[in-house]
Amino acid sequence: MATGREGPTPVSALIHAATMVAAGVFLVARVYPLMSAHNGLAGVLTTSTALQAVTWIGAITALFGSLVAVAQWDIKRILAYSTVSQLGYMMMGLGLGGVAVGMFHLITHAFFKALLFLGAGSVIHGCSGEQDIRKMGGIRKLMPITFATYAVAMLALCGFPFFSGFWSKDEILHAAHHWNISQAPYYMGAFAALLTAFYMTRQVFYVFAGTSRLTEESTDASHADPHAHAANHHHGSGAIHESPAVMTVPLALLSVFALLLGFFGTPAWPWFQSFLEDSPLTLHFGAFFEGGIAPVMVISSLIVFLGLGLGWYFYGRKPIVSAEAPDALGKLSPATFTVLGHAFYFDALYDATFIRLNKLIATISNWLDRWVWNGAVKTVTQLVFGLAHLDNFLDTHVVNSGFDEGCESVSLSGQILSRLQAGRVQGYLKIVAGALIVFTILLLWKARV
Amino acid sequence: MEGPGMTQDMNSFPWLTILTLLPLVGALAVLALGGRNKALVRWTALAFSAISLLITLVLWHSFNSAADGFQFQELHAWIPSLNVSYRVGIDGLGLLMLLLTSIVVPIGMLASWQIEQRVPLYFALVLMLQTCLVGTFTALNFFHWFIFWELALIPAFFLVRLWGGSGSARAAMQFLVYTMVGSVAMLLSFLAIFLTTKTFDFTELATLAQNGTLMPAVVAKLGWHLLTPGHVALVIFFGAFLGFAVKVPLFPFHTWLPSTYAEAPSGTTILLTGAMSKMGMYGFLRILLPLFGAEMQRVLTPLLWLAVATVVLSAYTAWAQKDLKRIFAYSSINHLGYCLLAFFAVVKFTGGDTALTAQKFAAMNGIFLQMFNHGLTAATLFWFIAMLEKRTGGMRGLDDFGGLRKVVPVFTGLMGIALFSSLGLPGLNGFIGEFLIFKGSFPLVTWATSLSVIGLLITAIFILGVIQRVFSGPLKEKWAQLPDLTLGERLSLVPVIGLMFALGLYPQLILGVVNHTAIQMAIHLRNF
Repeated sequence: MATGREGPTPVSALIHAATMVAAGVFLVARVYPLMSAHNGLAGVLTTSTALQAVTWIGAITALFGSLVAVAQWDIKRILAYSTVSQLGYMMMGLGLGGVAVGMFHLITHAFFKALLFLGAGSVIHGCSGEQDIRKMGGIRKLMPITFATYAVAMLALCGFPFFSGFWSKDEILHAAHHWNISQAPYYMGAFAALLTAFYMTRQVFYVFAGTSRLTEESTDASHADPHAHAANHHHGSGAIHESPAVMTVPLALLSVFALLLGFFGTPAWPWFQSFLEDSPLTLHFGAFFEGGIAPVMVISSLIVFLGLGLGWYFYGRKPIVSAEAPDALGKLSPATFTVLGHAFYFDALYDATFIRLNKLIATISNWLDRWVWNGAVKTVTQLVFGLAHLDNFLDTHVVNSGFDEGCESVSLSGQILSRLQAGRVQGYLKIVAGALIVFTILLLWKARV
Repeated sequence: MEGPGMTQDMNSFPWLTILTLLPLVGALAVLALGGRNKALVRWTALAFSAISLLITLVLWHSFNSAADGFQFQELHAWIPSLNVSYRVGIDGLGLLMLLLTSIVVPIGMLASWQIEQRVPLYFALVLMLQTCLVGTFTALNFFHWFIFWELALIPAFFLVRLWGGSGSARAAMQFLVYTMVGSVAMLLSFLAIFLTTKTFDFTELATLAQNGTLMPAVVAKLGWHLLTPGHVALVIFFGAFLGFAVKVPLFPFHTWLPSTYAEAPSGTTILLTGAMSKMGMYGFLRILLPLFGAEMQRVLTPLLWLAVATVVLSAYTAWAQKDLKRIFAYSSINHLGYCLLAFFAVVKFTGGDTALTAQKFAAMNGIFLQMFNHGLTAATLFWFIAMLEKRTGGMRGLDDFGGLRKVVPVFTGLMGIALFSSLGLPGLNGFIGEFLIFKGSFPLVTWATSLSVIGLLITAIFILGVIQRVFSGPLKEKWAQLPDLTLGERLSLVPVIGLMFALGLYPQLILGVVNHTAIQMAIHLRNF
């Protein structure tokens, strides 16, 4: 999510606000009958295991996202983690209150988050591509329309009373408060709401308040950034001006929705809920005072005011003058701030474990293929070659030479025998004489016996 | 496979024999043309393969997709003393493979357009290969089926050896010998069967196997008393199995494939991956499934693990490669691994449960579709690699490129479509086969299917990696003037890419024709 900010801002608006992140929430809502099925006792209201898991994960996500957003410096990254946090709220809403509760926040969030992202895009455009909030400032006077619409969206996100986010977030908190299994999600959601107000105020003060900290160096540096606006060669704060109508008109349109959309789902007239759940619809202002709605609303409002106040305390009391100054909250505990800034090192963890493991498997697999499976084939090949050489050797030196030896001895015996036919009479006479002697001895021997 | 299902007077005309011999005639014509006019040689060869495609489309159109058994059959007595007859015919599977062949061969020819040495010989060999492929996919008697199966190795060997890269001699030799070892084992098994049954005919053998009399008779005839009858049957099965396992390929008999695909000229790789690898899978379906079902059930678990290993290990190994052709060689192994997974899933259960039968139908249809879609997609991918090699003087390393989308946007877009099809993106043809395979196999072989999902994930990773490394990122100076696709290339790619979208959005185009055959094949195990 956080690295998705690398895309151009309108794409971020689409992905992070309206469409892609909505997919997961929509999927849970779509298969809600599967998720809510449980084998509990008949008549006893209980939440299925699946929905409990969804709720807990949602609550943890809401808290995680808002904690991390507090320590970010990139304007879009703050909004990205804010989206993570709000998605947690949506999941919580689905798990605690059902499809209508979760989807209502999805719809309102889509509008004010898209507005926030487009507003951020407008600001980035005005600052010639700068995205670091430490280098911004003073945009309120220089880009008033952007500021106004951004403020509307920011208040809606925080859940300021009567803005659209207030109604949808409050439904979720109300459902959490009346959950019979645990109050922990409520407290996590409430604390996350506090943090939401806090980090949005922080962002607004850094970006819009005070005077501009944009310098020539930072605009030069951002010119090197591929997202920088190429044609605009202005430098420094003198260059910041309001964006053209093609950007500000959509901002204005979205801010209308951010203001008014919530009124389609108030307890007094819950049109959205009755549309989704097919329940009867009446205009009934007394609904505020039933079911413990009003106390939750009052407490949420107080939380929002507290968050806004804390934000003002840390970032609004004294103007932020220098881009290098440390974060006012970060000064209290630099170590915590760093951990939050690195998002609890989750990305590093994934990188070190899952990704490295899979790359290792790929390397091992390749090695196995080359040396083991292929090695087996090569070994067989070498054996066969060895057999062929052995065969050749046997053929040349044993079988063939055996034959050659035989021929040799035949030839040799022939040579020897041929001496009998030397043609020399003395030889023949020698043999005749010898034979005569042998025969004489034999005859005498036989005669004696 | 019951009695022949004839369609009116179509069968009196020997379509299949003509389809088999036509490329051979083309090969002779091309050789006769000689080497002076290379363009004439190329266009003549392409014309012959185009006519083959037309004939195949005519067959496709007049095929009766609701009939049992084989169509367009031809039967002639050949060697009566050996009880061998020339018998050809096609069912849905055969027809699908014929269609694939007639699409892949022209693609292979087009990708070989830039070959300059011994052009007539090259295209003659390609056409000979097409003859052998058609012969294999239509033969119904083991005798001439095996002849074509073995004959196909010869043009393939020379195509790899004479026009391939620096290591082509070794790769071609390894390919030839390895495949032949498997084929010899298969021949021995079939000789054992022939000795007993005195027939080579697939239908007759299948009937005997269905009655349960085939293997006992073979075992009794062989009389090896050192092994139990069951083990003897397994040995016979293993012989036939080895021949096909090398061809598909199944892990661990796959090691010949990466170097062969990488060393072969890209046009030949197209033929190898698009058509020849399907011969192995076709053999599994046509021969092993009806004849050796019981034996496969006995060794099913090891077979399943081999299929899973094929899918998962080849995907991981593909990720570790740095040569584009080797990446997609391993990717081919991976995609056919899914076919094997579904195949073994179908073999596992016989009889009964209609719910399981429905899953088997899905799995079998998935196998057919995956064979066709992978053949098409892989052929197209290697075609793009050939185009890239042509422009870069033979370079195809993953790290050689970068940022190409700024220079060759049309090429990027079209190759991107083929890449996403290979990845299995819904909406493109690669998704349908994989989806049906997983849908059908999951209830049948749950653990094996679940593990195979890893293959899907890793495939997505390395394909996106290819897109990122080749098309995105910083552009190297030397590629700044790379020419984009010519008009001829674009025109020839349009039907192929269009087919990817068409099959992805309306797979009924193929399913309508092959579904009946798939169902029959899935049911066939029921009688064991």
